[in-house]
Amino acid sequence: MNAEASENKITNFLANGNLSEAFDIIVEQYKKRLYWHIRKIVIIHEDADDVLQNTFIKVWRYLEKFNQNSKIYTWLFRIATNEAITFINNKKKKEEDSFENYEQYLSNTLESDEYFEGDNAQLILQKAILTLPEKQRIVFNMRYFDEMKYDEISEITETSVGALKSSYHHAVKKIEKFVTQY
Amino acid sequence: MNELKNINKENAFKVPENYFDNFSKELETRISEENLKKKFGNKNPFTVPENYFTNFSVKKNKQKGKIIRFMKPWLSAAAGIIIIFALWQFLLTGIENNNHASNTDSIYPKSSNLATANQLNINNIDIKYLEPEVNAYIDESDASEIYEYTNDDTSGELTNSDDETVYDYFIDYADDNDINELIAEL
Repeated sequence: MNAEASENKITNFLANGNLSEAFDIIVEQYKKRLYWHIRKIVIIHEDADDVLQNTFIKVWRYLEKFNQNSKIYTWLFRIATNEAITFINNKKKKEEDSFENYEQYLSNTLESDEYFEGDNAQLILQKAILTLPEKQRIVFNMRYFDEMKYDEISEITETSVGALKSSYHHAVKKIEKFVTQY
Repeated sequence: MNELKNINKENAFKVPENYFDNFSKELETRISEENLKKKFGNKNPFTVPENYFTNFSVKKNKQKGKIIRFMKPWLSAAAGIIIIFALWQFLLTGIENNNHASNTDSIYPKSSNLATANQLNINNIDIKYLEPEVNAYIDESDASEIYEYTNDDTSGELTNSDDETVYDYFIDYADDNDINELIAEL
């Protein structure tokens, strides 16, 4: 089913109060996209799986109230982004005695991560990305890897296009500076 | 040709605000991005376990388990306070009350021997009395782990966008088994 057809089907089910059917299509249609969006934020597969579950549980909980003023995928991505940020903040809070810098910990684990198959250049790039503040990292991932338009990113992050462009500019510059060491 | 002379030659096209001021910076970003992509690519380096997406399903009961696990320490403490208070009340007034008709407003077990925690059940404890303790013991940063609970400026309670308190959410999602399990931990 293509994106537009599934969005229409979801909208129809929601309009008729068929929440379960709508939810099933949402999960099937968006689980991969949401997973990869989350994974680029939290890095570790098990964490991404947790956040993806949390995201869909929240979607299930609020699906009846979804007002269709925004597109489904924008709403889903917004929930996923917020859940990923909450997850990271909670993990930092819980583990604050174990490591000083959570992003540094993620960077160090990448090399031995069985679910990371990047070459050395990709590893360096991921380490560079992990030096960015969370929200800047998210914007960078959406623009650089997913090649999303600023308008789409703006809807998801509820940040102005101008602010996003500035954030991305700074992110690219920081990464350029980081990678010159290698 | 005379008609053309009468037409205003002023440029009718517009650009977004600050377009030209920002143009150089955006061009610089674009060039840097292109250089990064040339050197590092933008391919996804992450993988997933085999059949992860095929086998993926949403565990709708997961959140129920999560809130119970999350709230156990505080609710254990809250339930503990109630049990201690019940014992105190019983010791002060228990003998006298045993000679009178049972107090229908009492939230505590009516047996003359206060049951051990493991013998208490939901029917004999009015769980509503946990509400102030639930709200008092969980601060904003902890509650945000559940569902975006924030401090309501007017009531001072932790509520979410649906005006539910943390306690309301607990009651919606905790069943008798969950509550019995909590009390049994005392």
